[in-house]
Amino acid sequence: MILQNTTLDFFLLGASAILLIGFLGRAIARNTSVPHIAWLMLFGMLFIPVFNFVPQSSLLSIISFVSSIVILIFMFNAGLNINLHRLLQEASRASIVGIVNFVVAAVAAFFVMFLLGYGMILSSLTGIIVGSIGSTVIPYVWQNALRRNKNKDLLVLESAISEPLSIILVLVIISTILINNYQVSFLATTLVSEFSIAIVLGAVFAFAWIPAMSYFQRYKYEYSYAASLSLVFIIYTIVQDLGGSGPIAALMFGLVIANGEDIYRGLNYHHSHSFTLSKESKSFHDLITFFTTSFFFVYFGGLITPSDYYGFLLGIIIGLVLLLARIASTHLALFKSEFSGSDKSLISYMVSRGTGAAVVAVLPISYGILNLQFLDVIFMTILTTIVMNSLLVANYKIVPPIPAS
Amino acid sequence: MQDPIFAFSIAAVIIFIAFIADQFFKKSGIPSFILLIFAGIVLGPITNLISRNVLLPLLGTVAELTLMMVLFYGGMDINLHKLLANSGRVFIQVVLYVIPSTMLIAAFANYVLGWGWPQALIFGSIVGGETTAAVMVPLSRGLKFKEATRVFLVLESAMNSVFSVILFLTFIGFYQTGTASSYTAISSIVSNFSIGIVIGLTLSLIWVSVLAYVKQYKYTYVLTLGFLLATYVIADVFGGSALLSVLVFGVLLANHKFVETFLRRKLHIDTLKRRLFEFQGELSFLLEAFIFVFLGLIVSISLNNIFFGLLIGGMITLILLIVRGLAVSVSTFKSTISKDKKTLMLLCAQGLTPATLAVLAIGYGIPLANTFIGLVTYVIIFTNTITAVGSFFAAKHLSAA
Repeated sequence: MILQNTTLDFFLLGASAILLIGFLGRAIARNTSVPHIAWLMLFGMLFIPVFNFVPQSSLLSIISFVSSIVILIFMFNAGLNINLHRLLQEASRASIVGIVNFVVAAVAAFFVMFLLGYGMILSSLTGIIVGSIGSTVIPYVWQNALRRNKNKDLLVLESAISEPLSIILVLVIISTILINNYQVSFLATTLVSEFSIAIVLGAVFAFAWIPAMSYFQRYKYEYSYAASLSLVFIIYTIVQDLGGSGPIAALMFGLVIANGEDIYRGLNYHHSHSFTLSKESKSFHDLITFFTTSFFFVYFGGLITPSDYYGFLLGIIIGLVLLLARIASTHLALFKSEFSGSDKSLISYMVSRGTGAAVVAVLPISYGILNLQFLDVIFMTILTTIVMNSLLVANYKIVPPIPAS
Repeated sequence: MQDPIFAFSIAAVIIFIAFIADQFFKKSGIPSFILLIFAGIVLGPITNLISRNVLLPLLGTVAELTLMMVLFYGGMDINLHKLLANSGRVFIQVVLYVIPSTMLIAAFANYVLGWGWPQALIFGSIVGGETTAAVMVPLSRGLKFKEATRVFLVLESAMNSVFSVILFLTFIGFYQTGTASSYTAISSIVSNFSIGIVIGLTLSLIWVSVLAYVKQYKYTYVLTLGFLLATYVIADVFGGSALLSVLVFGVLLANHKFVETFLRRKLHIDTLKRRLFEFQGELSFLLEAFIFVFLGLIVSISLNNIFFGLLIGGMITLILLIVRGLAVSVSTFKSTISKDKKTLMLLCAQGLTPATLAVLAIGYGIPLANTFIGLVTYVIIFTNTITAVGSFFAAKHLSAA
């Protein structure tokens, strides 16, 4: 390991490089449609396994910690970004598209793995992990092509449905394996209990927090938005300790506080001030997500084995299969809809996998269910889908890039 | 009891008594259930017209069905906003009433009666802190309390039996294995509540959406009852509080406008909901009448130990009243319902949960379980009498106001 005597300098430089790449990656994405996560993962791969600046074993020692933190932040942010009203109102079309695309993609990836001789657990996990499109990637890919709100909304809702769904299903599989009791009744009871505890406690804490948060926002208490985040950590811990699912509780907490105004209005609760999450809070959570995901993608890249050519090849194959599956499933889900043929093609090219797939792929490793090589397949699947998506969308450039504000 | 004509005659008498008792309650403020329980005592222990042993195997099913229907009906009369606004206070009330009263009664049984701690704790959990929905739901409606007070009583009666049952099972575990985990008890309570709420919420949302499409069909009410039974069973199978799921089902059905706000579309089920509410009212009335008579029928009062029963039952009731008074003072502190706190303290009627748990204790082979049944009977009679007195004064007070 180089720079051993100046460890602090080394880590500071590393951190600044990560943040800079996170920023530059987003800037480059505006023109190239290749999202920041691709650059961050490649940077991580070069920084750690290729040049060995940090031993991979030290990354592995903190994998449980990193996966817990990232999944918590990710799920909380996913909840914050769900507009419950829009989701319910447009649920019919977006749900059909989201669920059909997710199921078809998951089944296709499952069969690729299963037919190549991998076991049921590995094939199922792969299918579910790569089943959803990436909510953090799609905006960068579409901004040069999809300027029609209808298409954007559909994709936002699709990723809002399918990404948490993918994480929830992976958590179900992991819980099933950890419970190690395959009696259907026992399994069902345990899982329902785990998820119910998370849903109820997440919602109860959020209901209690919304008026307090609104008060702090109204009277402009400094850094009050940080309190919401601290509360998520507390809820996560309490829910996990009581036998519930921490990530689901974080999702629920985010979802309820983001929709507080609508929920309280629905309950006829008369309040003179808004229960909406302020712009500062939203920016703060976006910033935290930016920090966390930037570090996480470098971390993820650092866990890759560069010589695992077979894993990479498998990732490319799965990426290609996912594209074919998406083309078929999108046309199926949007059959006889108001979307034109061109719209349908464009939507079907939005195959990029992103944060959700990467975050959730680390979970089975952290629980010791799968080995590290599994990440090579997911890594290459994410890269392949991003590259294919960018190339296909490049031909659809129908409006000039958005000028930097 | 074997003769159907005899059974029909008894049923007819019960329905007549229930109707008269209800009218009497409206005039005098004396709750109808007192007359019904008394009718049960006359038909059973006094005249022996109906054998207690014939009814005991039926008690569990009839009691569960009654509680289900009563809570569903109670839920259909609750404003969701009021429910959420008061649920925190109700939770405090349940925790402050059930746990301290269980512990104090256990301490009383240990130090005064000389019972071992395991038996004392099991007994404490049987009689500690329940208020029965079978009494509270109709009573709170009949007394015309303001909505927040009604919600408080209904929700408390739905929640406290869950605490009692879990504490009972924890102490049974303590008796059988010699170890008890407070963590397991808390986790079980949270899990039980959560599953009940989530299943009730999910299935009622589905059903409200379905009702919008099937509202014009005949027998929609029966179909709704079928779905309610399914909700109860599903919640129970998954280890949740089935009664809570039924309550949530009723609340969401009544507050379907909340769903409409989110969907931004009208479901047009108001007429259907009104019809459901009327039908459910009739059915609940019928089942309540039978269950109170059942309660009167199964009480076991032996002349041999009547003084022991009266004394100990009275002391336990006193402990319950003191703890309830303190719990109500804390949980209603600075709230809109604090004016009703004296009445809330007196409305402490116990019923089905202590009776069922006492019977279960026999099944678990707990020493002194037969003594439990005798004492539970006295506690049920005392708490119901106090509730009758409390509701009588509340009725006078409310009509004067």
